[in-house]
This record gives sequence, C-alpha cells and structure tokens, in this order.
Amino acid sequence: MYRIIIVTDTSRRPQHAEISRWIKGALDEAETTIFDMNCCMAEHEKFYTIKDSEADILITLDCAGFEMVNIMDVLSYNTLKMPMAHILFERSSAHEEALSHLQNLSMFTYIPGSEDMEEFKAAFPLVPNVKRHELGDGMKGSADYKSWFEDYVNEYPDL
Amino acid sequence: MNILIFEFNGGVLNSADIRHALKKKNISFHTVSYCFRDTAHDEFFVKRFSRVLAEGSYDAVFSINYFPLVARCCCKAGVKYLAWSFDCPLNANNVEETLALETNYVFLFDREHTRQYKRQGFSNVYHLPLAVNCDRLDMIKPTKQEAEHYGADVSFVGRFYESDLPKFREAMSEYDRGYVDAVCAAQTDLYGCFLPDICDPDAFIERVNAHYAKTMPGAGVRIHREWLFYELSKVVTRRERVRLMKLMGDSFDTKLYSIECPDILSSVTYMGTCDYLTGMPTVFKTSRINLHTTLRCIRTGIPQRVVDILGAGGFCLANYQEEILEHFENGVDLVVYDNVFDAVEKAGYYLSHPDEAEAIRRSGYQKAREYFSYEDRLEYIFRTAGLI
Repeated sequence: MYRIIIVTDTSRRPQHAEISRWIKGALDEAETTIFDMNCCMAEHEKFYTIKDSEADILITLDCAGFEMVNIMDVLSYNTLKMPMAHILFERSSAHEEALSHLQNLSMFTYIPGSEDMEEFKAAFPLVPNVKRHELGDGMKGSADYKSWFEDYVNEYPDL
Repeated sequence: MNILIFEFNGGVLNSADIRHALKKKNISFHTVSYCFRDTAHDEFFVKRFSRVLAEGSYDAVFSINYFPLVARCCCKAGVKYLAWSFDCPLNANNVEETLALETNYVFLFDREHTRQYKRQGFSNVYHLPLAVNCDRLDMIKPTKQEAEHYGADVSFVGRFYESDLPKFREAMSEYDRGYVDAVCAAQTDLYGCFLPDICDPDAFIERVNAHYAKTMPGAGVRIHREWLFYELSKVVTRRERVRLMKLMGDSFDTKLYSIECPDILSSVTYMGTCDYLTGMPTVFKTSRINLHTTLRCIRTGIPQRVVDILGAGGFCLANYQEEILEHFENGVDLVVYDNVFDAVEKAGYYLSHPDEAEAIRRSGYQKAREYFSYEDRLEYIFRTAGLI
C-alpha cells in the first residue's frame, strides 16, 4: 500500500480542497494525507512536515509548495528522496517562477491535455519530465485519477 | 564543449561556483538533479539518466563528489565522467566496484588518498587541490554592524564531530580499549602522519571483531577499516578543536560558529551557525584571526575551509598539512601551528602585530585568487580527460 502526500494551496486556488478529496477518494487503496500550504506554519516547518510524512509518493497541485527554496535558491522538494508528481490544472503567471527552478529527475510534471507540449518544454527547460493529463480542471470523478495514477507509478520500477 | 552537471540532493554549496566558472569559460552546460534512496541500486535513475545522456549531446558528465550509478550510466553511454571529490575519503559504498571504469576521471584533493588508490591499481584517479570563488567573496562587503556582530579577535567556523567510536569502544576488551585510547592520544598531538596507516590496524580489527562475536553472539557487530579510520579521525579532531578553542577562549575574545558548543567552552562566545555563502565569509573578513584544524582523515590535502578563509581575505591560522606548505608560505600567506599551545602563542603574536597580520592576510588572498580558481581547476580536469 502506498503512502501518498498531496500538497495543496487553497490560498491560491480554493478548488484544491475539493480536488485533493477527489484524488484521495479515487486512490482508496493508498494511505493519503493532504497538506495545505495555506496554514499557520513557518515555511521550514511546512517543509519538514512534508518531509517527515515519509510518504512513498508526493503529489502537488498547481505548484503548491514550490515557493520553498533553500539558501542556494534550489527547490526544497529537490532534496526529497521520493517520486513526485506535479499536476498543473491551469497555466498561470504564478507558475512561471515556480517552473523556472531546476527540478529533480524523479519529478514528473503533468500539464493539461490542451497544452502545447513543445512550447511548454521550450518555456521551461529545467523541468525534466513532462507528460499530459486528461484530468480536465481537476473536478472529475474517481475513474480518471485511478488510471492517471496507474500510468504514473509505472514510471518507477522500484516502487 | 557541452557538459552535463549531475547534482545530488539539490547540489552542494560549491555548485554555484562551478557554474560561475563554466560561464566564465564560455562552456555550455545543462544540470540534472537527483536524490538517491539507494546509491547502489536505482532502476528508475539508471533508466531516466541514460535517456538524458542518449538524447543530449554531451562531451562529459561532471559532478562534485563521486556517484557509482552515474559512473555506470556514463560508461554504458560512452560518455566521460569527471568526478571532483570534495569528500575525503570518497563518500560512496563499494566505490572500488566502479572506480576503474574506463570513462571515469576522478579527482581527489588529498594527495595521499590519491596515492593509495593508485597503489591499488586505479590509474584514473588524479590529485587536484580544491578551489575558491574570489569573485563571489569579493562582493561581500561587511557593514560596521556586521563587523561588530561577526568579528572577533579569534573565530572558528566548523563542527566538533560526534563519533560512534566511544560506543563501540565500550564493548571492546580492556586491552583494546587501551589500544584505542593510546592511538587517539598519540594522534592528537601528531601532525603529518596518520597513525592507523602505519600501526597495522588489521590485527586490531580482527581482534575486536572476534571479541564482539564472542561476547555478543548473533548481534552481528563488526567494525571495518574505513569506518575505524573515519571514526578515529572524528574523535581526534573533536579533541583538538575543543582543546584549541578552550585555550583561545581563555586568552582572547573568541567566537565560535558551530552546530554545538561543548560545555567546557564557557569562555568562548557561541554564535550558533552561520551560512556558507554570506555569513561565513563575513566572519572571515571581520575577524582578526580565523582558525582551522583539519579533519584528521585528510592526510595531506588542503581543506576547503582554508581556501575559503584565504579567498575571503581572512587571516588563516591552521594546523600543519603537507600540501598547505607546498602551496603557501608559512608566515607570509598564512600561519601554521605545530600544536595547540603554539597556536595560542602565534595568535597572541599576530594580534599584537596587526601590520604583519595585514601583510599576511593580503598575500594569502592574492595567492588564493591567483592559484586556486575554479576556472584553473576545471581547465586541468578537462585537459586530463582529453577534452581540450
């Protein structure tokens, strides 16, 4: 059974609360925790809460938590030893800064099916693995998340 | 030339200095970052990293420190792997399994370690002292308030090292407890020679492991050579640093920047930690004397901290290391001490002779800037690997 942590940011997108519940419900065979960046913790406390979850997989919604960088201006997520999936439900200027940071090779970034893949890769060359998702705006039923997740974990033979 | 930089765990503090040097040399590069859960087996990494190598057109992969899985992928792809180790000893399990791969070029800053690997038959291991980015350090100009906060007559930035050896020592026989104590005591005052290298540790290790097997059957407790050397080094280094700081604190206005402050150092002003990129250089620039004692497992090499101090324009008072005196002149570029009491005496002298100290500080900086640049080091690495 996988332990999953989903990182959301309802201050930027209130829909994350509902989307994360859909994902959790769809992945009913996994033990899923939801962590919302919109909470009263110092940034380092948020990072260590995520890190100490000892999850097998980390999923972020719309670059939630990407503002956490270390003193070398490196994404704090880069120092985590777990596979990570970053799902973008929309493209916004808020993501430009987040996606301009070098990402760890274990990260997969999922962009909406309607996005131009080559344009995205050219705009964000430091994102190592880009795939499309068919999850729409995220407010979907459980079947879509299940097949997305199955496709995702197939990328990790050691998982 | 096109280089792929591999960074582990988000990179190290010197990673930005490497990129700065590559840009100055107009060498294009791309960076890949990864955090291994198991540095020996990672099917996902091998698959993805091999794809990166195949899809890019790289003349070489470069990393700070050595990663066996990167070495394997590079060998399979026929791409040269340039690993410059800032760790001493090489911090990789079973490194000998991959070290001899034909695409490897591994650079160590400790010449004695380099010799040891060459004696074992690894011809692709080379000696290369560390470097410092004076361009970055020159941009740090402490304010008056920072000088008051960070500066002192004597400062030390570093760790005290906690060792597991005491725990393992407790389970040894009385004879071997005495043996360990004697080696540690002798090593503390001995520079330029690492006693475990000449004391035939194998007999000791065999004896200790036999004793563990007899007194703790089934527990599987064993020690091995590399572990013993490293843990002994930590014990001795801690002892020397605590002793030195105590003596300095009792005599001068002394500040300590570390993750801990041993209880005995009540006369020292404990400042907590400082960050490597801006805080530490500020300490070096504003303190009249900057101490360094080398982690003892570094046999001959110049530690990073020494070049950091000199490159920041700080006055450096360090223990004897063979390579320090090959590259720098004692009393001209920095000052080397023979033992902790000598260190205190010399600190007192240079605090009373600020003009002489200033001349040494300036000379040390010039030498670091001229002979310890990242650009020159990379030039050597690329030339050794036949890339230029």
